[in-house]
Amino acid sequence: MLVGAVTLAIIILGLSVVVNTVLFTENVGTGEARVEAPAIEEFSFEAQKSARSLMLRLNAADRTDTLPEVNTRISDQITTYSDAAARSYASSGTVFVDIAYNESLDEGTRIVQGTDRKFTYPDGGSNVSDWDPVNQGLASRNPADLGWMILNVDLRNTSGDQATLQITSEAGENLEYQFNRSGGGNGPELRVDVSGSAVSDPDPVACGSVSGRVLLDLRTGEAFSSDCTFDGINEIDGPYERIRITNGDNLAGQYDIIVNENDSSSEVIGYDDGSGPKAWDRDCTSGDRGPCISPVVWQGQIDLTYRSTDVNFATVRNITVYDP
Amino acid sequence: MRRQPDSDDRGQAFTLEGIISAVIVLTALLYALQAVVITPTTGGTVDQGVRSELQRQADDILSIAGGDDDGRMSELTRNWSQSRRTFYGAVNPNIGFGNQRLPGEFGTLLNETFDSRDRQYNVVMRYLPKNASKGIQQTAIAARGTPSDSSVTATYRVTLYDNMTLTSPTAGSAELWQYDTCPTVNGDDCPDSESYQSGYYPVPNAVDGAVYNVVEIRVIVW
Repeated sequence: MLVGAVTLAIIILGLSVVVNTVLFTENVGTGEARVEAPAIEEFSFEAQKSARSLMLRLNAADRTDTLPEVNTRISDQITTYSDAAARSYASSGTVFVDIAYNESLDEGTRIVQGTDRKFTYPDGGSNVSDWDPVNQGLASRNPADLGWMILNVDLRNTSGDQATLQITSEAGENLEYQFNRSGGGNGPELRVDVSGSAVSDPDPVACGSVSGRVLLDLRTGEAFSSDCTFDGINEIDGPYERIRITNGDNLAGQYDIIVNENDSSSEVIGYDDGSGPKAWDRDCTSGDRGPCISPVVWQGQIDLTYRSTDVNFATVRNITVYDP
Repeated sequence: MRRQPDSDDRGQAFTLEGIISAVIVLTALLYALQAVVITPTTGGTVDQGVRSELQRQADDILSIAGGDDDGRMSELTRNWSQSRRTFYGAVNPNIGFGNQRLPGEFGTLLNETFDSRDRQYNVVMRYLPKNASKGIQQTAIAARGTPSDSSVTATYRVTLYDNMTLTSPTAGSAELWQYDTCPTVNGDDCPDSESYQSGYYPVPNAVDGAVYNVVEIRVIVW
């Protein structure tokens, strides 16, 4: 009996050690790391989204900026955003976050007409109505991916006669947009008629104006200020060889085109002013009323840091600003 | 001459052995009971498994509602009715939507996940103050009561920009920086309110440059 009692006591003590070990492991094991995983994921996602949004905004902040000035502006603003995010996280607990801009990995070109005028190319004292804002037709120039194409049409100075904008891809597909003001030139809408190899001859649409303006995103095929939609440039796959404007004197307003080629020695963004393809050389200056070019960051790199009492997370992320 | 043990002596020996055995077993049991780890669940007041489940569900809801590029969580923070001084469709400024369903997919997810299982939750919008020394400020999106000790908290942050506009159907085209952050003109709460331009929106322009504020959506479930 005594031997049995001693054996039973040893078994009881052994079981208590096993049970306690299980309970202890369950409670202090990886619990904290599991809890912080969604927080790190959320921080990484939101920080990248915010950095992209800032780069997108700052690329268009001042068209007279040089590339180093654009990079400095982005770096400063991301630092400011990082400080704000750090304050927000610090208010919720002992978490430190930091977002820092490293450098631009890939540059692009913004072809911009920032003041209202006809969609023509100024050639000395005259204006060329049939010209190419993007023409990569020569062998030394690469077809360009298109990241942005917004038209801000001044309806009051747009004609009832048609102006045409044609996009041709490297593969030879094309889309043609014909624009004219409704009502024979006195109507309240911009008429958009799309044709080309990638679409099956859809009916023209009429896009309403707000205060005489019609804002169109040609990539997605939608108007910001009205419900009109049409086939966007995304209907044909890039990269693109050529964007051609015909009868540009029938259309007035502003435009913004961003491509992933630039005027560095290794890349060339070409155009054609009616006298044959050549490299873009009209850098934007203050007061410039015609189309001109300015550099943008197409892809940038940021450092992300998330540090708490249990987790130390640091990573580098490449941010593609424009989704071609 | 030694006396042979009789049956009485054997009985006493067995009794003594039984008592000693019992003492040994009871001592082992007592030690085992005393040595049990005290965990948060030992008292039965908090169920760690349920809390983990609630935490995961709340995190998932915020990830689903916020983890896209069309900015639905950002729209929620700007779904503001100036005339009612609370969110558009909400009950009142104190409780926000209260027990009503929140708009959009976020509200549907909260309803299907927590309301249908008789769980309570608060949703709060916390944002940076214009003056850093004032500490974080907050506005109720949906206040449903005082959280219990066993509540769990999940958060999601969105960045607002200067050129954004309010998203409620009654909002105009004014950008966020044009709104006044005091509910009344030169009221007692806001003696430094200089102008009242486009109406009241509580989130201030707390960051220099293109960023307007970093807003935290906080879900507290119990």
